[in-house]
Amino acid sequence: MQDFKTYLDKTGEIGFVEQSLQTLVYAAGLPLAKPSELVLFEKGEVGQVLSLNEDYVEILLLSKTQVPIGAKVVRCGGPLTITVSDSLLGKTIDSLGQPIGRGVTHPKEAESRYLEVEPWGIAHRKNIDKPFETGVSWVDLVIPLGRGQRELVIGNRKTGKTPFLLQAVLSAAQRGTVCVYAAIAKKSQDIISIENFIKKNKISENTVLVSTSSADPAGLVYLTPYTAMTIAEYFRDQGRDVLVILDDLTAHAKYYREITLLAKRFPGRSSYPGDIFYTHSRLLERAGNYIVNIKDAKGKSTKKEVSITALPVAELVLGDLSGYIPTNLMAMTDGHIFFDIELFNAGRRPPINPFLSVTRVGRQAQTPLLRDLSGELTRFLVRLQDLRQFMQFGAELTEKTKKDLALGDRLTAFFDQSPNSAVPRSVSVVLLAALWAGFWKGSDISTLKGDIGKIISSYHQDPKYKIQLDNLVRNMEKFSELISFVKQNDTVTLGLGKNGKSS
Amino acid sequence: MYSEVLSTVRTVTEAARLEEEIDMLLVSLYKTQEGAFEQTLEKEVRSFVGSSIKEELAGESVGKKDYLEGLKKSLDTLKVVRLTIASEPTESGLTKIQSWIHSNLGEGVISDINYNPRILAGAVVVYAGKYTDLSLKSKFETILGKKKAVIFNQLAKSDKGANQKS
Repeated sequence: MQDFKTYLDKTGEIGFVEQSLQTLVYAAGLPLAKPSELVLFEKGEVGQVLSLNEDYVEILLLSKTQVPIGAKVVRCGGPLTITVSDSLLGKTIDSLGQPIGRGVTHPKEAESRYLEVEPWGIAHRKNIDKPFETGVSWVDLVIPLGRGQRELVIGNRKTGKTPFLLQAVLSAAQRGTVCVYAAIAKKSQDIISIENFIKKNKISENTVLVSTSSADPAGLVYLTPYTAMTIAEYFRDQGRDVLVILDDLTAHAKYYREITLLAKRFPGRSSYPGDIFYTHSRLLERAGNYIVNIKDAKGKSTKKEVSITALPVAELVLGDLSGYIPTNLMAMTDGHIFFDIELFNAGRRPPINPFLSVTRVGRQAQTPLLRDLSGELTRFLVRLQDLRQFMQFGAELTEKTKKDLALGDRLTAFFDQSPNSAVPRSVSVVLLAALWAGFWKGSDISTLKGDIGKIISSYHQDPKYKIQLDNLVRNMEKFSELISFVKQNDTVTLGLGKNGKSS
Repeated sequence: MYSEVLSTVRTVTEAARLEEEIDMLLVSLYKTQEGAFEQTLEKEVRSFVGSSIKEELAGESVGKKDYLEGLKKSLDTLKVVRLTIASEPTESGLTKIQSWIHSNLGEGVISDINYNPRILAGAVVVYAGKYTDLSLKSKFETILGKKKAVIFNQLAKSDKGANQKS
């Protein structure tokens, strides 16, 4: 960005602040100002033109300091842009692309991108056909996602949504996917926690954190998800798969409501402006599975399938799924993962409710084995829920029912996952097949958990074992075949849990 | 209707002064003392403004209150040219500026004059959001920016010449 005088000489136009209303500024002058154009005040504050009328230019202030009445303002001649390059990886920036903490040194050839662009049309898109692994067994097996899917993460506050998102980031970043985490109006402490998680797990080289705290101006908070998506699009155009986390869009909607109410826009339902749906849909429409032209070092262009997977978050009030913003977001995403406060209070981690969660395109990206497994598991979970309700009547149980209930308990223990661990999908599939085959029958839960931990660490440490499990999951077509195979081959579970034995 | 009074206004400061005078006249309308309005017009209002108001009131059929309120409103509609100049303007200078504004921008435009010796000479003009820097400082900067090397060379040559002569 250049200085005030340069823009003044370039545009030959000036405005004077006549009214300053918290985050909004009304200035007279600037006859050729355009909506969304960036403006600069004489003391260095920046703003964006929100609307125009005969007498005033309405400006959304993007700086923390207030602008005094009478201050001069100039046009910058174009919409808001941020500088993007690979140097952003491992950094925390604000929504204007300015570094928070460590500085960003962009190379000379770094490009500037507009924050608001039209999403690519159907000609550049491809159907979702590759699975996206989150490292959370519940999601990978029951509510599977695909690369390029937009899946809403929804639930009450403090139900473990952020830990789930961090697990997804960990899992994706470890596989080389670029993760852009937009922390929208978060507490500074939460932002630091996310930074620490990234550092601790050594995934900085594949992550960018775009953060605004709740103390930042509303304009800056409003831009956060657009900045994150712009960065995601940059990496997409570099031929890299991207995961974008938008945490959270209900807070974003509240800040946008604050801005529009200040600007005296006509309030709609729950006082949100009429364009709140458009505000979010034009953002989420930018995610998807794309065919991108990638140029190599020799300048030769090749087509590559690249995805931007989006996990927007919506916070519920008292578990009410029918709120205005959550239902809007459900309408524009390809499903949702519901974090149930009742399951959370019952001690489940993650407290995902599989019956109220939906995945619309994730299943089409799964292998036949996973589709078969997912169906079998869902049927069992429905039966288990019925059985548990039936048990409340104190009825006498048959042997089969007792077995199912015991398997249900083992399944619950299997799906309980610590927030700092990501379970590879191949391990999840094999473990589930082992449970179905009757492994760890009669074992206590702590033994089961210890054995699961051993299998996961072997998967990470022993390349041969990793290849064995990955090939097994890739080549099998039916869940029943996998169960038989696991029964006959002790090596698959490292000999653990067979015939209910513990290690 | 108000053209005669408004023609006495040249700058933003004068407009503010006239507004104060109108307020005083409006207050005087509600005083019970006999001839309060006329007294205020003579004693509190500048004589040339007072006589213009008297003339306009005599020629119009509107009441005093409506006239004064209308005049106040028309003051708000005046457009402003912001001028930054290098020296404080004299009375004749102000009149000259105002006559230039009238002839080039039309009536109903007044000036807001700021004094800034740093611009050396000339003026910085802001009107209807347009900004034009016609100052000597900016000319110098432009020339220095473009011909810095040439100027320094010339200066160095003249220095050498002076040294050789001495």
